Amino acid sequence: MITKLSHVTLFVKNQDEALDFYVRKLGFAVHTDHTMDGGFRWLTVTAPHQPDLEIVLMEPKAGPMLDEEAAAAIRLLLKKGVLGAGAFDVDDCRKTYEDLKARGVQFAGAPQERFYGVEAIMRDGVGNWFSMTEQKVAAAKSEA
Amino acid sequence: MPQSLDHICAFIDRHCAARMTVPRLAARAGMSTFHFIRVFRERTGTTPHQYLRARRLDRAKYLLVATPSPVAQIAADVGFRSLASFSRVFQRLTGETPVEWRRRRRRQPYIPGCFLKMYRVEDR
Repeated sequence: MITKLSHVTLFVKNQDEALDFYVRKLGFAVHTDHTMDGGFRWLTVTAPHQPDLEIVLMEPKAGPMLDEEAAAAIRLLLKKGVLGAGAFDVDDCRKTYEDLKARGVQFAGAPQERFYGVEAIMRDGVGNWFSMTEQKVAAAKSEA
Repeated sequence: MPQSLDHICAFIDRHCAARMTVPRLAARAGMSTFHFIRVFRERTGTTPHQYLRARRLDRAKYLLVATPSPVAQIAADVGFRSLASFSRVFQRLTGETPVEWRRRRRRQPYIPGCFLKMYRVEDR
């Protein structure tokens, strides 16, 4: 029986730049950084409260699964910065927004009130954008 | 609402790197510190402090073999206040320094096969 998601792929333009963003700016942890014979670099990071979900930072390259046309298509999407990769939970959106901005993280705008909480949209600089959301349920729990 | 010991253990498992004290854990369980330690030991065979330390060392052992992080960074990441205290505890409980542990057990990381196939890397 499947129990949980263990790995998720995040295509990035450049693994070194992605490492700088996710680890040094967002505070994620390096789970594995291993370069195999032939140059394949297996680089995974984990979010602070999800040590058992590895986010695979992968540069799109041609191989058995992706031909060069497909890999180029993904690189183009990353270059345009239009891949909406996902959403992060945050405990205090406005404070985190200020902290991350000070570290050079790019946002689409200031945090906005939504019916589900407070949300800001950020770019990782390597082709993806994320929502960063302080959910109302989480906020209510933390105030309790 | 007081949490059960199962919840307390799960909390320690998930947040072992965070700063936590036995009195705070006792408060979560709705018990006095003395009573909490006694009940915890009866249930698990170890004290809360020993349980926390074991979880931190488990995490450190994994990070030592699966990541390239410096030992000092791993010590901080798993919740130790200093490299010295981490190394001392690690060696006392395992018989090896963290560096020795890493050197003897460094292995290929776990890479799911679907990723290996994507880039035509030979399976191990």
